[in-house]
Amino acid sequence: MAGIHLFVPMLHRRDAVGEHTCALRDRLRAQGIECRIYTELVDPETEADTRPYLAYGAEAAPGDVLVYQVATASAMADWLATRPEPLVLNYHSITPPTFFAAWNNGIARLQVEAIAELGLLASRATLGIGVSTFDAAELTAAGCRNVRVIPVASVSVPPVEPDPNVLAELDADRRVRPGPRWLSVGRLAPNKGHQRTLAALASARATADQSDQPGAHLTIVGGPTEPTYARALRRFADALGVHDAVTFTTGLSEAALAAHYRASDVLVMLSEHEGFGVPLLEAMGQRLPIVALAAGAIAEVLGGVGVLLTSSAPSVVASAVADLLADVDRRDAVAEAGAERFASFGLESAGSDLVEALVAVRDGVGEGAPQWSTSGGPMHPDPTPSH
Amino acid sequence: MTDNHAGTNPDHRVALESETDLLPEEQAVLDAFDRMSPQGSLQWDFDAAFRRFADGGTGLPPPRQWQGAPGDLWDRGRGAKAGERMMGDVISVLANHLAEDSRAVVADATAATAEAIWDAFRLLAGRVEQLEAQAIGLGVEPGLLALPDLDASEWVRELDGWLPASAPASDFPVVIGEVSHPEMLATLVNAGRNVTAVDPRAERIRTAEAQGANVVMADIGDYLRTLTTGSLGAVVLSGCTDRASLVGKAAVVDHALRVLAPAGTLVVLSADPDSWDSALTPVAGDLLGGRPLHPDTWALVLPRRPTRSVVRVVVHPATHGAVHAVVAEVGR
Repeated sequence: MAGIHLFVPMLHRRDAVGEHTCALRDRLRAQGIECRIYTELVDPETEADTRPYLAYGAEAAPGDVLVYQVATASAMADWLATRPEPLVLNYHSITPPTFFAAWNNGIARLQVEAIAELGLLASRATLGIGVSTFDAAELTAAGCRNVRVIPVASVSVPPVEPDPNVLAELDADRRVRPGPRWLSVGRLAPNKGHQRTLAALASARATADQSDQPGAHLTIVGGPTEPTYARALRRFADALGVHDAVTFTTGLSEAALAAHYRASDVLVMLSEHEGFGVPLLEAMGQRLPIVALAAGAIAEVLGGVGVLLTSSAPSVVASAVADLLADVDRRDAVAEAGAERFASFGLESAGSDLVEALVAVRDGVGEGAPQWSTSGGPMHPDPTPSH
Repeated sequence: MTDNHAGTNPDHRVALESETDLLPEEQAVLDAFDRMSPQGSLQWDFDAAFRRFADGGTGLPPPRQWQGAPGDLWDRGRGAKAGERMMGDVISVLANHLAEDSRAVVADATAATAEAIWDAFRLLAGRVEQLEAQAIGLGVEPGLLALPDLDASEWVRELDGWLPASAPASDFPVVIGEVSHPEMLATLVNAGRNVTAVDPRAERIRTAEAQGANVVMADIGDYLRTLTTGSLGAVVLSGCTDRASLVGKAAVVDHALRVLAPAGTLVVLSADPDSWDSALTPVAGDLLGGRPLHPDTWALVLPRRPTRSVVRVVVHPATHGAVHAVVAEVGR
């Protein structure tokens, strides 16, 4: 029986690509389509859910479609390039190696390999799926001729309810340590620009000091993807004298993360390369105003909501946050616009759109006809300002 | 809104700021952060060293700054060994500068030159150690440097008894690096110990998490460096010193001793050197920077570490496995 099978270098729980892959498998199976997940490396936690990719050859069936989740380098890429089945690239953005070069040369080299592998597979792919027009443009540039934009399928709709205990803790903390609450959500990786957020916080606190106002506090939620960078961030917070005002946390449940969104005053996102930006949508869903740098897909995902900056200079960011928080009406309007943007983003249909696109490949519908271009297409999220 | 606000601009390819948007003091602050990166520090410190070299009264124009990306320093040269390659690079950089006017430099800036060269080589030595410690820096896939599995099962039941007794046991935090034997973690967790497993490998971290341990995804040496002096009841180095150079071994052990509370315990689980040699592939044997120490060597070395007074060392040679255990207790 022909199936649609998913290939991912390693399947992790609590990981954007891993959660997306599992969600897609479940949706395909729910429609009666045979679907297995094949990996190069085994994560003990997901071992029962996966098969080694080299086993696929013996299990292949006529009419199969292979879907590769592209985010990093893998030996699987060379192998997939030799397979005769229709290939779909589900692209999750490759962080440019330059971000890692100074921090981890090994990772930088892997990213170089990943880009080369994308080039190898792109021209061979029947369909490329980007989660944003930004990613879709990268797929096209890599040589993919048929590209669609379908947002990630793993954002919870409706938004997750906050954990009341965490919410109570955060409220109690605010009573003890007054001052605006900044939130930053994203892996501790060099492209995320957390150092700029720390520097902006220091700038904001210096300004608050001068006017005898309580200084802002920052919570950074994200795992230490690059440990040398993560350690440097802590040292940097010390050097800036803001270590008492900064909390690093990771491993939160969805409900605990929702509580952080709900209890904060602003999401500050100064990422310099972002293929999508799930935290932006999560924040909008929780009515949290956003101040963000216009990099990667951020402007596209925001769609005019929030404060979009072209500079992440600390004083510029601090001033933008202060202006936003000082104007209650504007802050409420931004939060409301965010909630509307979240509701209209098409997240609920993303999963079924993805399945539909894959089934079309299996059935040979529209094969070879470009469905997206830089001028936009049917899946292009509406970039029109919503306020 | 200021000019820096893109506002509702739908074009996602908005140009990011140029560095001219930054105030000079902001630029300095962000430069300081860049210098915290492993390669950034090398690049910037080299530049600083050569600035001193040039400003030593030669009257010459300042030397050219390093124009390449930080990573370039890693990739230049084709020497077989990282250390040789790096030495070659530095010598060529030095030669380029000296060639600009070697006579004037020697006459006018001997002292500054000596200082700069010393600084440069001191920095270089540190970097070479890092390169040697990170086999991936050699451009060799980690899979080719696969290490023998550390079978420490012989000591799973013994380990808890070696650690300092306390009531409750959770009062003494225990750090284990790396996650070579999940059962060992489970035993300590079940004994009520407050255990943190440290390992740079994601799959090992997940294994440790499943055993109920706290986890930190990091190199053990780097992690210990971040801890406060005297903050731990015990440190267990489970195989993680085996592949390190002698210098690397000493650095990890010194940090481990430093973070132990009075009467705290350091346990070193180390592969038998002969078994290790025979289990390595020829490639791994050639390229790995270090090999395990015999337990007697550990017993000789540990009391001589300058970091901390080690009052007792007990050696537990392997009987049916290929892993020796050395238990050291620091003074009160």
